[in-house]
Order: sequence, then C-alpha cells, then structure tokens
Amino acid sequence: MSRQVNQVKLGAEFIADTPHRESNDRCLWAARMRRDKVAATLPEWEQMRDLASGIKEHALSHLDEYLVQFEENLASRGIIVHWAETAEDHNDIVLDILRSHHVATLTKGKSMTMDECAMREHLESNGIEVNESDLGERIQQLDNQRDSHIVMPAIHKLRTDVARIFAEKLGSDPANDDPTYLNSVMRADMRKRYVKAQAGMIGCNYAVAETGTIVMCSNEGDVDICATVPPLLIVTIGIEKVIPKQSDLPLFLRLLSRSSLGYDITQYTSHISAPAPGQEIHVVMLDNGRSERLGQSYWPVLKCMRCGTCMNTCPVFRRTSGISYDANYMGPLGLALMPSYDLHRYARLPFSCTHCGSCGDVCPVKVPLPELIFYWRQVVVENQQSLISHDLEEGLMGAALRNSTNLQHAEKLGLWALRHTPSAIAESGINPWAEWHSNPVPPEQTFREWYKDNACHNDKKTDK
Amino acid sequence: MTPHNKSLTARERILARVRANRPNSVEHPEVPVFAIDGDPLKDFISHVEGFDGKVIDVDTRESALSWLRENVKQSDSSLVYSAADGYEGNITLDRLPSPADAHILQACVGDGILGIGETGSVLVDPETFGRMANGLFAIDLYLLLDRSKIVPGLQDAYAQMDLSKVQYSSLFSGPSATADIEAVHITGAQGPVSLTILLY
Ligand code: SF4
Repeated sequence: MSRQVNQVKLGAEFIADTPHRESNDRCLWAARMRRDKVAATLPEWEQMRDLASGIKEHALSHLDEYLVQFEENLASRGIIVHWAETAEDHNDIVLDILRSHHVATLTKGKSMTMDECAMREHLESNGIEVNESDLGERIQQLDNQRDSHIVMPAIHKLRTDVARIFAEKLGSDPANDDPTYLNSVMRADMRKRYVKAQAGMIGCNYAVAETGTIVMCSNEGDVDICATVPPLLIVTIGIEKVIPKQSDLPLFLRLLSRSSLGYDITQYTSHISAPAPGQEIHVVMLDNGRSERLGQSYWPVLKCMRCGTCMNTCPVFRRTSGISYDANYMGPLGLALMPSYDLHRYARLPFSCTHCGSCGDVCPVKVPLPELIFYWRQVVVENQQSLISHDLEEGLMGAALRNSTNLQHAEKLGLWALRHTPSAIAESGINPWAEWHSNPVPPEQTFREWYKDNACHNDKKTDK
Repeated sequence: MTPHNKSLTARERILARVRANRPNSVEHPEVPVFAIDGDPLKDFISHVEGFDGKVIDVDTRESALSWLRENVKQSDSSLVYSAADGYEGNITLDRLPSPADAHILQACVGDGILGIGETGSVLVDPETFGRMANGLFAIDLYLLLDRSKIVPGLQDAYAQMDLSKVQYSSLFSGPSATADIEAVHITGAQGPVSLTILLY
C-alpha cells in the first residue's frame, strides 16, 4: 500500500521557514491581485467563465467524437497518433519512439501530463538525457524535487536556493543570486543543449478537434524551440484537453493567462497542425484514468485547464507551498483530483482546506472545487482512509450533533473543560492551536445560556 | 460496463470507455464576439510596450526598411537573417542547413501577418522568418507590420485564421520572458531578448 501523504506535517515544516513562506505567499498573492485587476477591465469576464465552462462540459459530453475528429485531422497531415491507456503505456510508447530514432539526448518543455507519468525518470533510467527547458522546471530537475506549482514550478524557492543549485550543477558563481544573472546562466546552458538535442518533447494546452491543431501557451520561448528545432517531436496530450472548434480557442486564451498570472496573454501562443519539412511528429493521447473519471460524479474536474489560479488564491497553499502536497497536482486542484489517482495515498489531502471557497470563485472554467473537495472528504471517511484523529473528531462530533440535548450537554462539558483544564495541559503540544496563541479566558456561560438570560428577555420586551 | 477487453487496441478501449462513460449531453453554448473598446492601434502599441517590446511608428514600409538599414548592425559577428522583402540580411538559409544552426544569429527580420490590439501580439509563421528557429534563436527580433492589419481582439484575429491550413503559426507577444525566480520579471528568457515592431 502506498505511503499516505501528510500535508499538514509537510506544510508545518514550510510554515516554520519564514523567508520561504513569506516569499511564496507574496509571489502567489501578487499574481492573484493582478488577476483581479485585469479581470475587472473586461465586463464580460463572468460571462466568459460561464461560456468556457459550458464549452468544456459540451466537449467532455461528446469527447469520443471530438477525439476521433482530432485524430483524423492530425493523421491526414502526417502526424502519427498513439493511444496510451496508462502512464506505463505512455512511457513505453515514448521510449520506443526515441529508441527507434537512436535518440540519446532531448529537450523537453514543461508538461504536467508527462510528469503525471513520471516520464522523465523513466527515460533517464533508460539512458536518455532529458533536459527540462522551462527555467522553473529545470531548477526543480537539477534539485531533484517535484514541482511546487503547475505554472511556476520553483516559486517556493528563494533566489539563494537557485544560486546554490546552479553553482553546484551548472558551475555558476555561487555568490551571485541576481535572478537576471541566474536566467542568463540557464539561457547559455540551454542553448548548448538545444543544438545537440535529437528530439523535442512538449505538452499541449488545447487540442482543437475541428482543425487538428495542437496549441501551446508559454512565455520563455523554450516550448517553441523544443517544437521546431529538433527533427523529431513528441507531444503528450491528456484526452480531456480537446476543445471542439477554432472559434472556441480565443475564449480560453482570453481567460488563461489573465487568470493564471494576471497578464493579457502568454508571450507565445503557438499552433501546430502539421510537421515541418523534414520533421516527424508523434502525438501520444493519454488516458490514465480519465475515461473512468468521466463516468464518475466528480467528472467536472476534467474541465480543468491547468492554469494554477486556484493555487494562487488558496490560503493553505500560499503558506504551505505546493511541495507539501507531495503530488503531481497540488493545491485545490490536487485536493479535488489526486484521491482519484490513489485514494489511500492522498486520503488526507481533502482535509487541507479551510472551505473559504475562493478557488471556486476564481477558476476560469468553473470547476466546482469546494464541492469536489467536500465530496472527497465524504469518500475518504466512508472508506475509512482517514486519520485516527479525524475519525475521533468525526465520531465525537457525530454524537454531539445527533440531537439538541446532546449538543447542550456537549457545550456545557466543553466550557467546563476550558475553564478547568490547567493551562500547562491546555496549551501543551496536544493542542497545536496553542503553539502560536494563548487560550482566551473562557466566558462564564455558554452562548445558549447567555441568550436565554439576555436576548430572549429583550425579545419579549420589544415584542410588545 | 467499462471496456477493458485486451483483444481491442488501446485506442478502441479508450474510446469505448469514453463512450460508455460520457456525461449527459451538454449543448455547445453560443459564443458572442465581445466588443473591444478603444483604438486598436493605440492598444496594440501600449500592449507591446507593456510586454517590453518596442514600437517604431513610421509612415511607409520604405521608411521602416530604411530604419532597419540604419539601425540593425551587420558584421561577421553580428549575423542577420532577413525574410522581409526589401531588406537584405548578411546570412542566408544555405548557411543555416539545420534549424539548430540558427543559434548563431544576432538578429532576424520578418513580416508579421496581423497584429492584435487587445494583447499586442503579432501573428507569425515559418515564412515570416524563413524557418521558425530563426525567429526563436535570434537575439534581436524585428517584425514589420502594416498597421491596417491590426485587429481589435483575439476573437477577431482567430476569425481571420484557418489553423488547419497552416503548418505552424504563433502569436508573439513581446520578447521571451520569465518570472520563475521569486516572480522577478526578466525579459530575454530563451527566445529573443528584444522585439522591435516596425509599424507602417
Ligand atoms: S481547477 Fe480551475 S483554477 Fe485550478 S488549475 Fe484547473 S482551471 Fe485553473
């Protein structure tokens, strides 16, 4: 059985590290603030969210038809299409393609879908050099750590961390932590790798069925270099990425970068519909559980277009960082999605949520994140995958809330306990809340008692 | 019943599962074309500048070409590829046999296909640069753009395109950039470090 991820424990470690926590929170909240500002300039913003959600729901409810249309269009222009049922199948297909082309080194754009398959690790263990081309992703690769955010993979790190990693792995000046300098180190190093790369690999933001077009949105120019420079290109596409028509695309593009980073568009929005002369393109359509998810009540999670906005806004994510989720998809999206990959491993994730609802308010395609998170809590409890402490809490709460008499007794008992437990115990390690707070002085009465004595009395007076 | 029959191909099994599991049919909503307020040309210029690009606004194409002749340095150590009519570079495609060879370029000059006021983007394709790699590896990028080809918004731009007919195309919005280290914005990530748009 897989080891259960304890986000609370991992998150507490990050919270204790003030410089990292503050930087993570500041960077993500700034993106959220920019998003609000830019969204406010478009009066049609909320209407666009509704439309985007509707198009995604339409596409998913006709997914088989659009997948076939997409495939036929790609194939008609010489793009070779493969279908992978599982992550393992995906990795085998990719390895076969690379081996048949004698590829020893490649450059790869950021792709959560490939990460979901642990593809890089698979290729590396089979002797293929994989060079991540996105700066954040490259930092994480060199540091041998998972991404902490689906759009900004190294956003939890400080510049000093990057300076240390680049000095160790790329031979840069360890004393120079200027981000501009660090970017120039990356640029110079990658240029050498692009020239040697025998293949490029990329993910896909949108797959347009009507035209058979792979659409990529990126900022650094690396994705386009991976896609156009080497003679062999492999594109991994999750089957849920299909959208019906070319005219749908601008609606999604208008929402994507504004939501995710607060900018009107990404620097590069690129479309591939055929191979260039002398180029070979393979597309791997990945299922890996998506077709099963489609038949479950939580299927709306498949609308997600991986913008990361729910992460930027989440108060838990901003303080604990994406690393603490120890998952390919983190933050609110992770809570709503990861249990469907491995219920035991991710059983605790749905509880790392304050239910503030902010993620649902900002999601550009209206994935009902709060409802899905609540759904998974129920599933976890019903499957008894939960923590002992959660079971205990749920059990006690269940008894206390069973009827009003029980609740009244529980209130009195709670107040008595608050008033009479010595502070050495009440504020000890068994009460994590007290680590950062002193317990307030308990009131004389429960609220119910106070209300009986005061509010009811006043009501009677005003009722006359 | 979700199909896992191993005698079918992976494609057939995936499609069969998708078919069996699809949610109740949802209609494709009607998407209106949203009006973009303001002057597309002014919006275009301010967005290009917002993305750290530069706009040179001249009267005629000939003036734009003259500007290039005066301002783009060409030498053995400053190789310039041009795909634009009326402006000669100092290197041609026969000296760049493979796309990766473009890493030696200092600059690349080409004609943009259309511009978008809403985002400051310019539509380009391999013809714009002779080959996409030239426009991605060059340190300085120069795009000529006829101002009459600026449309108000992304929806207007896509209404003019037919993605099925073009091998590769891209909206370039400013030079390449990153904010992956502490969200510090840096212009000049892995593609061009500068982008100059010559509007005529
Ligand atoms: S769930 Fe919504 S907000 Fe979160 S990454 Fe997906 S599309 Fe973006």
